[in-house]
Amino acid sequence: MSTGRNGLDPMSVELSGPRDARRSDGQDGSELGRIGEQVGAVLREAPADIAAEEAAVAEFRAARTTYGTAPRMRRRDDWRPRTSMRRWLRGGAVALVTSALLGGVAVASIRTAHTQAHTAGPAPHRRPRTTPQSQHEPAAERAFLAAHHQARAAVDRAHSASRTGEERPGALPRPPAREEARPRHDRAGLATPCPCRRRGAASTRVLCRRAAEARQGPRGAAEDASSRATAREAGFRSPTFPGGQRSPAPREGPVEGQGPAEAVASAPRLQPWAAAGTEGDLPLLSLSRRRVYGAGIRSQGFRYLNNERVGPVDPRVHEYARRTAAPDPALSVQFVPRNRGSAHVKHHPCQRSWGG
Amino acid sequence: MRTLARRGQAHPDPADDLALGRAVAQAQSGDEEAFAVLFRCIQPGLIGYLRGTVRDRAEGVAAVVWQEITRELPRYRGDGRGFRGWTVSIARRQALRDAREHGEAVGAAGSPPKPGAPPSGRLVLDLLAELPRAQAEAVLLRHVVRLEEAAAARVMNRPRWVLRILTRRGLSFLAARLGSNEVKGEVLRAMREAR
Repeated sequence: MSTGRNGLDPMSVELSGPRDARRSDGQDGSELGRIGEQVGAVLREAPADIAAEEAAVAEFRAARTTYGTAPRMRRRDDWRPRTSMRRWLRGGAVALVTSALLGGVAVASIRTAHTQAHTAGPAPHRRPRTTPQSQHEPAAERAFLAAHHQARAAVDRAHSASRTGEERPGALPRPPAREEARPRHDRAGLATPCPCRRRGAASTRVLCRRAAEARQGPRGAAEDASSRATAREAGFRSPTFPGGQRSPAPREGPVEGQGPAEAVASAPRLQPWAAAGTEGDLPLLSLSRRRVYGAGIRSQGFRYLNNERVGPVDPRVHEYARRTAAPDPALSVQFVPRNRGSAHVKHHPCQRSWGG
Repeated sequence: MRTLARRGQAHPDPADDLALGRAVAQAQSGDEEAFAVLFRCIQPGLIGYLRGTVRDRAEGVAAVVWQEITRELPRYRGDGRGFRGWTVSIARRQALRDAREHGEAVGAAGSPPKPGAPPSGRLVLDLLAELPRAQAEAVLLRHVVRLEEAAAARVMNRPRWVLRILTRRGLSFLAARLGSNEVKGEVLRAMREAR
């Protein structure tokens, strides 16, 4: 009889040994069994070895005298037949471990999805809408925003001064002990952090670079103006935030005794980027593909606020970055198109709501 | 049907196993006579297995194996059927150690079979030496020691289906080599002379 399991179909015979092992004259399991019996009988036959038996019995006698307490049984000494109870116990233990493993994975994935849903951005009904009004920015609003950013810069300066323990507002900041420990904007020679750093989230090299160029002189200013013109052509407009304001709320409230108006009044001069015409609402974006910053990993294609992912980047930001960053080879930022290579970015639900 | 055929290959004798189980229990309690019975039950399969693996050094290795059996006998837990597997696992360990010490692979080919050689088990041993080691060992465990499939799989530390395939391949090779009439007649003559 030849079935699929007993290995006597032609393929398994071919696999089963040398080529001449193939038999066609009715070789089946019984014949193999007969051959096995013959082999076993031939190899088992041996004259009774009396000497070996006596030696073994003598050793047994000697070992019996040295037997003390019953020695511990090892696993390899346990040849008891498996009862149904032991089989059930073993199967139950295996099922328990497997279910715990799978359940743990499931629960962990649920929590991960939950966390992503909370940090990925506002819910659809809370998503900041871009109204047609905000596309035509009135001059008054622009002026207000410039004043607002200057006030915030003053507040930040005051905070940093109070942290470093300096009393005089005009004093130079104390140089840190190590050059590497200084933040990027500080190494670049800027007195205050540039807008990206101040917002705490959009730490792009583009912004730092642009601020440095603006501080250096005409090249930065000209290029910045041209790039902003390009961005306006591309229809870029910085995202709005809940509550109707066009920039995120400051992390902390103003210092006591110094309201926003006083901060504006005490602002010594325009910030370099403001002087160069930059309004401080450069896009909140990170252009690097994946960037470790602070406590988390930044994924390209998302907006960040206080190191938390608050939503997807406006797709037009990428057009802006492509036009501005590509012509300058000295710029260390390489523009990476969105959704390349990272599945969770590609399939994140936040991505779908843009462009609708 | 298939299962019966598979189980029928080794033909373990249940009465033999019962007697062996009783002998093991009595020997563990210190009975010399029971140990002699146990020796007579175990020794033929053991020496056949060792002949197939270490060939000429089988008797010396068997003596070492019996030393270990007498030393470890109080540790053993199980019945007569399991005792066969336990002893053979000890023998396998000793055979592997012996092969390591002598720098020779277990089951390596000895001298080639001469045409007019005395027809002892030499021919079968030479044929087994041509087999891969695992196949030869599987055939020895299943048909010489007459272990069951699960016990042989545990001795070789392989899954049962692997052992089944190894045994079938080894037996197919042996059947092909023993298939010609003159070889078959030689083996039958050898068996007749052995009786």
